[in-house]
Amino acid sequence: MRLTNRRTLLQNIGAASLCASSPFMTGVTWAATFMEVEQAQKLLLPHADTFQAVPFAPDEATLHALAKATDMRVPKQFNPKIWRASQGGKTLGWVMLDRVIGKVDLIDYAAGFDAQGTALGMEVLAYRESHGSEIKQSAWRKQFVGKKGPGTMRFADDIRNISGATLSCQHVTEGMQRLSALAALVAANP
Amino acid sequence: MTFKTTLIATAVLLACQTGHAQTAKEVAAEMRQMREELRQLRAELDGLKKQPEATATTATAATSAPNATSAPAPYASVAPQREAEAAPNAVSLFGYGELNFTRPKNNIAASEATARRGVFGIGYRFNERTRFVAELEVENAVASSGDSGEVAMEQLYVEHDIDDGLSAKMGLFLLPVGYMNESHEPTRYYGVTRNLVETAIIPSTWREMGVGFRGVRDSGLRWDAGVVTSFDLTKWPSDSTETKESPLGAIHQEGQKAKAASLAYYGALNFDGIPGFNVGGSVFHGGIGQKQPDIASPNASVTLAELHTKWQVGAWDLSALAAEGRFHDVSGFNTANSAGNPVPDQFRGWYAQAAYRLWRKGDYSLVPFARYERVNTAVNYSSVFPGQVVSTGPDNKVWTVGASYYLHPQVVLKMDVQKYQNDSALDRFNMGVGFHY
Repeated sequence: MRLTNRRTLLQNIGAASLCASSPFMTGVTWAATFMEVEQAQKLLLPHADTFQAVPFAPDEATLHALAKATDMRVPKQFNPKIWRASQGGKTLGWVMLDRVIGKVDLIDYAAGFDAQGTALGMEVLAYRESHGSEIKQSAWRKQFVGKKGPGTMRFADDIRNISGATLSCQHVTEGMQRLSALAALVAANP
Repeated sequence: MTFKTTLIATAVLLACQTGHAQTAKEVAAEMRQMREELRQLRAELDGLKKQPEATATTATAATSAPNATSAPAPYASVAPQREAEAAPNAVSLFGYGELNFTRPKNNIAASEATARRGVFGIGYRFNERTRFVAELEVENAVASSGDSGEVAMEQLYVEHDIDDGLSAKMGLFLLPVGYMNESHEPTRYYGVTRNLVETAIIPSTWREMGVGFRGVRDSGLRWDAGVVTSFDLTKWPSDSTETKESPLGAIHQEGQKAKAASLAYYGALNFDGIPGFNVGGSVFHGGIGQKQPDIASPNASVTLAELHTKWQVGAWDLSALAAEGRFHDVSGFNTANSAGNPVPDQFRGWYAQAAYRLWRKGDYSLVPFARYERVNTAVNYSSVFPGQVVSTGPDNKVWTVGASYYLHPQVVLKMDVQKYQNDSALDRFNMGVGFHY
């Protein structure tokens, strides 16, 4: 009896709070994401009028090809989201959303590639650690622009480090190398 | 009880539905409808969870059509899924370790091998904005009444992102001074032991309790400012061994029942706007007398300032750092201190270092380096116990030459030779292994 009543109370409050949340709470977001996916898409490929999700489930052959192209193991959690960016039906390029471990926690970032697989830019969507958030700075991110293929964005050689943010820089660079290899695969088989 | 619950629900509903006068019956009906909708939503969600393959196949079919551009982008279905994925990773484990062997060149009997540091860290993300970090450090393997080991909380703080680019921390945390204090994992620095300047002048690993703010600007500027605990002059030992090694290291408090009558303020500014290049500096000023009635200098204070720069270009990693500290209002303490270890007015040091990545293959790399340092932990004394003669001593000039062999960017084997130009008895050969995770 008591339990039933408590459950009823919880249900009633739950229902009431649903009502409360709808008009007043929409402006409040708990996530410290710096950017939503839609914003990143628009920044990376501003001329596109449509971003269409392309399902991607990496199979063994793809993972092997990515590992070979980047000369690195592909992390188990590698599972990027891909969108085809187009304007009036013509494919302009691709936006890819991925996450890598910085030092200890996940960094969400998105990369834009043109139809040939050349990097158009990189945006950090969420950074969750105490140190290393300097990778959000545009001077660092700009280093990827115009680079095509993992061999052109090697950490320290092509993409310079930020002192005090080494692991974030390195792991995002490696992530970008993988996405760059993936962009080449997607561009070859659109 | 049922009446009570209905009353509460009615009150909440009435509060949020201002302007709608509803009877209890209407409210009950609305709630029934909501419950029904909730039930339907749950059923739909369960159905979706069971059919990921089916959804993927459908989507593949849609995108494989050449002119499928009119399909709306399903952003909404993506974002919540990623948030849900983040949840299991709220806890993170990290840490580092360094194990060293040292053999003095002219005193083989003093050769020593020690598990210098083992640090175990844990982080917990309450949500995307608020996190907690703790690091427990064990120095020299064993801490007991008969050993010289140490167990310490190296960090223990809560951090909150106030805004995009502005965060605050509260608790026991590392100060943003120099290069090594915040990034001191063995893979981050060259040499088996930490450099002398950032040990003797900047007392790494230097942590204080308090509140700190950090701002990161898109232009490449990063600023830090905070109010924290300071040092404790009453800890100044009568024997100079420890203070000659590190004046501030001898009187640090490290969040251990720290005297907090006098606080300290710090500020730091760094520029990272050119990839690979960093320049920055910091200033710390705090009371050390801690208003203690039983010492002659209750208002004594210390100021520490440093400048640093690093340039990582291609295979080169070049850096330099200079630091200077000054004690103020310590003459009373010194003239009353008949024990004979006065507090100096000034202590300072600088280093320049060059490292070059000679070879790299996959995760492996070999990086030789050379570093020159000049350090003086007691530059001069303005007042001492009457009749006392204190020698200030020349600057310590030290060359360190060696190499880091990385098995992985996070695992390093190190070897180096240190040459003390003023005191060859300190010359030594060091070997070590370090890692962080």
